[in-house]
Amino acid sequence: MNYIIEAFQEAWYLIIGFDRELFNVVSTSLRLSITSTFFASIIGIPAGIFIGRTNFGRKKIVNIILNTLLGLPTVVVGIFVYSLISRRGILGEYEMLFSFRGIIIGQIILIVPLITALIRNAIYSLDEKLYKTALSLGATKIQQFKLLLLEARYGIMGAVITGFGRVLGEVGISMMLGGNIKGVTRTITTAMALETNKGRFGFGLALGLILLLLAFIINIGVYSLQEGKEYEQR
Amino acid sequence: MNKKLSIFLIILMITLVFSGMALAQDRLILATTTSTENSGLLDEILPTFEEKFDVRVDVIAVGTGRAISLAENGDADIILVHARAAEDAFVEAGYGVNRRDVMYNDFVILGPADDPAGVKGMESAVAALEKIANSESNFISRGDDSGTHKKELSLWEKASVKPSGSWYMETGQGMGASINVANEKEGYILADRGTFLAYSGDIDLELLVSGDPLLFNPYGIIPVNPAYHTHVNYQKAMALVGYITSQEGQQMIYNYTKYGERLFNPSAITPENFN
Amino acid sequence: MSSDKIILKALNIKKNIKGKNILNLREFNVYEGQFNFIIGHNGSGKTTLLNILSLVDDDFSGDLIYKNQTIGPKTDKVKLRRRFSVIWQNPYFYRGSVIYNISLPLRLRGLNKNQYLKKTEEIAKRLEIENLLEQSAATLSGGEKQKVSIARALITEPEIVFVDEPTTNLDEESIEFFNSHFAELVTEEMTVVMVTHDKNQIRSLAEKITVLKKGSVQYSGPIKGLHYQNDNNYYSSKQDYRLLMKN
Repeated sequence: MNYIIEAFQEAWYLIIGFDRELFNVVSTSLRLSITSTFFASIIGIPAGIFIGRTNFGRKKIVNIILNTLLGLPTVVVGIFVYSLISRRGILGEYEMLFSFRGIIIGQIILIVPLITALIRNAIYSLDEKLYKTALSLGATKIQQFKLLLLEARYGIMGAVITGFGRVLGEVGISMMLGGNIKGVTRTITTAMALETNKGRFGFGLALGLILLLLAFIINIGVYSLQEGKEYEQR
Repeated sequence: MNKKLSIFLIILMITLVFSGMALAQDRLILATTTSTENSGLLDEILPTFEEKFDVRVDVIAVGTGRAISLAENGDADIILVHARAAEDAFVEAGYGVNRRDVMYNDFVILGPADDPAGVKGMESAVAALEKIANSESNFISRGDDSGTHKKELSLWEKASVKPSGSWYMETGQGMGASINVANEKEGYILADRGTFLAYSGDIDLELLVSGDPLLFNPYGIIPVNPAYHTHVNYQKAMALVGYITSQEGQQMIYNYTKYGERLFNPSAITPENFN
Repeated sequence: MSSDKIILKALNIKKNIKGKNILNLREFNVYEGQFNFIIGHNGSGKTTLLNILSLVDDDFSGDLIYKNQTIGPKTDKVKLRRRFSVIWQNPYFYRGSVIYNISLPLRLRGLNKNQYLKKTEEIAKRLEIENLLEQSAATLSGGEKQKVSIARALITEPEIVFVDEPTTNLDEESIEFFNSHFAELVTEEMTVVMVTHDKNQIRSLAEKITVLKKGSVQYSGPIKGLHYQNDNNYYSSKQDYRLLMKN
């Protein structure tokens, strides 16, 4: 029991003392997650809107594939990308293994299906009349698209935040593709997984507390988006 | 307002991404074992090396088996591992060149304080393992193709025991995690001394067998062969070999202590010859 | 009454949905400056026709002729739509306030803030909905929604207003308001195309009337030619009645 209390105390001192290594790890995690979420959104938002809006021949298959990819374990993505960016892989010459970029590629692959599917669902849930109304109000193609984005904005933001939360908390990809290199690719989750092996429980615990706090903030964001949506529909 | 904000965000993202790339200074990827990394020795040695040779060393800590396969794939420039037979095969196959002995530590056999197999104080590790197998006392194996695991398997072979049955458990995890499992299961385990020292305060397991020459655990450093993987940073890899086997590097290994004990003994230069 | 000048003409309009023919019109005319009514049973194709005429639905075959110009693939449909407005049966509003929704068509046309706010206030005053302006559009009652949707349609001073069953599902008071105010809100120059079931609206407003049955025109002409019997059946004459029964 004493031991647990000591670990919590150490964690607390690391956090309030702005321990440099600790915040270096947190900042790496945040930079990675923000970057990969950003690029995944650039792909996932238009893809989700496209699938949600248009009827094309293979839509059923696309949806089945998308739903399958939703449950993709991080290690599967990790191994897949590893085989691509390893020196022996077809992208080997770009030196992306054990680097920031390697992790980002993996994380983008992980959450593009998630963001796409959530945005597709958000688009599905919109009222069909929205499109006819936009036409009748005299909207150009670009204006129609803008109105669609505005109508789906809570759903889109929710999808992006969910994707962000997923990459922030994943460990498989960061470990396999990043290698947990100190000061370079060491993230909150990989540090937690490995630092405890060194007997640095306080450090791991401090990271766990920070991750918990970040998850809490993310959920406040999602919740208030939900709240805003309901407020306007009341 | 919103437009400005989104433009700002986009610029921020792009800067973030490219900042990750712009750092591409000369980089050396060192694949090593978790036990080496966990010991903290590299944090002692590498910063001075990095400064001296203007290179960033990225340490990938994995099991010995995985470290060697990373190097075989050309995903590492140099390896620091402890599994002599596998190291020799690595060099033999042409993946690595210029192997040097760096240091050694030793393995120890840990077990519960009541010692059901009665191995405490035995001099022969092989005999101790035989006793553990005969009494079918719980034994925890790394089972992860690491240097420690390889050492353990070679000891079983010498004891002519094929460990199997419910008493023999493979964790497939790192040293620390495996020690924790052994602690929970009240089993025996082969561990490196450094990790044991790091954990000794938190576990009930005791050091039961040590000192057998078979438990000697030598570390070697091997650059990846630039003739085989042409892209590797061979010059800086050789620089690291030179540095770590130099008097300065060996002295650092000799002086490095943790938990009041020396974790590694230099083996490239004996301490008498430091000056 | 103005002379019978055709502003929008539909020729040989055919529309199929899932292989089933919904609409098969040889000719349909919208007369400028008049109240053009379309009546018929549910499923007779009234709303489908309205969507085609208002250029909201372009999945059909046949020709639309606006002011003697055939609307083809090269026609700037956005420009034309900006001369039209639609008042839907169940209007859709975008997330945001009533002001935002009423002024949206003007924003889409690139008017500046002063201009669209001024016009929004004017139209709101005429519809007696100034008190609703700051509200979220999602919180409106059925009758309020209809008023806001009329405001949104008329704020652009359109040439043609398409109205789809404006008072179905509304309470008595709102129907009363619509029937007594709508004609005043529409200016002399505006053309109205209205689909309805409400006999009061037909009696008091209709100038031209078209009866649709199973996607084709049963009667088209002035209201005087229509012999009206009960809520759900419309015949132009006894002969037409017999003709209808044969089908």
